[in-house]
Amino acid sequence: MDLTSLWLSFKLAAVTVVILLAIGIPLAKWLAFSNNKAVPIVNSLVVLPLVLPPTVLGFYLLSIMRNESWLGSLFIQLTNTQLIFSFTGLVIASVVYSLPFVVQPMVATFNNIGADTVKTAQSIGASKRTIFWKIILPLSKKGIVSASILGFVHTLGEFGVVLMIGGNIPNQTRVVSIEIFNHVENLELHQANQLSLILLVISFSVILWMNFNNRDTQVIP
Amino acid sequence: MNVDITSKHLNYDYNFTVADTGIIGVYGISGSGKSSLLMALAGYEKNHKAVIEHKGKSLSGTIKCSYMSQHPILFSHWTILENLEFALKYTTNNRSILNALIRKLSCSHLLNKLPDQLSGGEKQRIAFIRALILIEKNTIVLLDEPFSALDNKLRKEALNLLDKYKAKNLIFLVTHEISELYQIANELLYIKQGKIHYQDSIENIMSDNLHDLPVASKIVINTVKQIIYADDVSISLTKHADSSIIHQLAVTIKNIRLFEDIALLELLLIEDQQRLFAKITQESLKHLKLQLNQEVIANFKSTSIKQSHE
Repeated sequence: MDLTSLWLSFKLAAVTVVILLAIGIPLAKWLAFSNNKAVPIVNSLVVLPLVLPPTVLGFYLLSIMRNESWLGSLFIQLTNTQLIFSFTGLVIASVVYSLPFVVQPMVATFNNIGADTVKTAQSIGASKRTIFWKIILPLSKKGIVSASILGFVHTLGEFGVVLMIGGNIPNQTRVVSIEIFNHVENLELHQANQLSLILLVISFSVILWMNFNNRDTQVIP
Repeated sequence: MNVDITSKHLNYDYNFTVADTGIIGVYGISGSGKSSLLMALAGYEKNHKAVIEHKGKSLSGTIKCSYMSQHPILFSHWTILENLEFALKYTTNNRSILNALIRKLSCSHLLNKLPDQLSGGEKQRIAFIRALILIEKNTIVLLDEPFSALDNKLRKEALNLLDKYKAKNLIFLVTHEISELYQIANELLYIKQGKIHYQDSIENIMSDNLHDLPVASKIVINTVKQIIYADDVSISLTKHADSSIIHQLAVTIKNIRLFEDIALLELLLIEDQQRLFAKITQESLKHLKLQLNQEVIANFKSTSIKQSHE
């Protein structure tokens, strides 16, 4: 059994989750606590990948990242490689695609902590920075871990967006879901079954673990 | 200090003047807006117009408050000691003061526990200690039903502790227990439907039957300060040796005020001239033929005494 595609998927999911945590925590904090009028608009944009068909999302990402686009041509100038059909392109697409799966549970967790906790910390005299780092973040540990795991398994299973942006290049963009598709197309059902089973077991185990450990955390945003 | 806080959104309008120090009891039925007043003073309400002045100088945004919510929150990822140490970082008060407060409210055994392992009363004691440790010079103290889950012994201890701060700080105390305010407060703000229904000194309120609050007196019996309600005092012409009532005190009737079918008697203890009130029916007044300056016996059951702080 060739596990290259599986390894590539894990690598993609891990990198995506790290980036999502860096973007997602401040974004979720802003969505949960800000009174800014733009919150509903930004929140809608974050949730959009949940409801859009992956092909639509993939199409727009392709438009933004193609070689002729501003971003695509800048990337070529900087790295001498194209953004689409590359691992970096896949990471960008995965970050957008999995954003709601990480940000929404975090927003829910921050909201669960409640305004009263924040007010109590404020009344003691703590600064906004201290309140976030010393109180909100530690209290959200479970939720953030759950959000990360959800983002990880969701990225592992993505297909449509990956196909549109990454294509089907072995060792670079051929992730496990595409490998399974190739196997089925070539009627290699045994190999397709092996990889599918691995994904099924991993995904089910992770969700089961989350449900046992984190009953207070929303699994599906 | 002048306070003028208005919120169209929450439908309240508070306008009052209070002294710079002392305990202001905030009283009223549920939903009358007591907590809103405290939240507004603490600066937690955003959709309102607030003018807080001291000698004509605006204090808005500069007041240091120590606020204790009706449902106190402890940070659940820290032990009780860590919760209190966090507060200690934001005050000039030192650890020895914290340790003394912990001892006085019998909380030493709770320090290594997590907040989730505490009962409601225990959480309230910790939050109360946290509120007290944050009190510095000029801190305005805002306490929203801080003793509602405490038993009588701890409540008394807590009232004793709070009493020590009233000479130097302004304390707003929300409570449903009028006896607490009679024991400790200097003034009372009676809140009704988001407005100050009336404001008066506790002494006036205790001796005045005009408000719908019980008439009572604060007297010292056997060296202990006691609150005795006029409703609990009865009058007889002579002492009864065969009565279960131990407190049968010789008094002189100094004043008789009539309200509908009741009579409010202002009495002076013959022994030491302390003032006491008795509320009796006008029928009893006629039956006993009571008159001003008459010497009679005031009777009250020991169980009716609300022992005040020492």
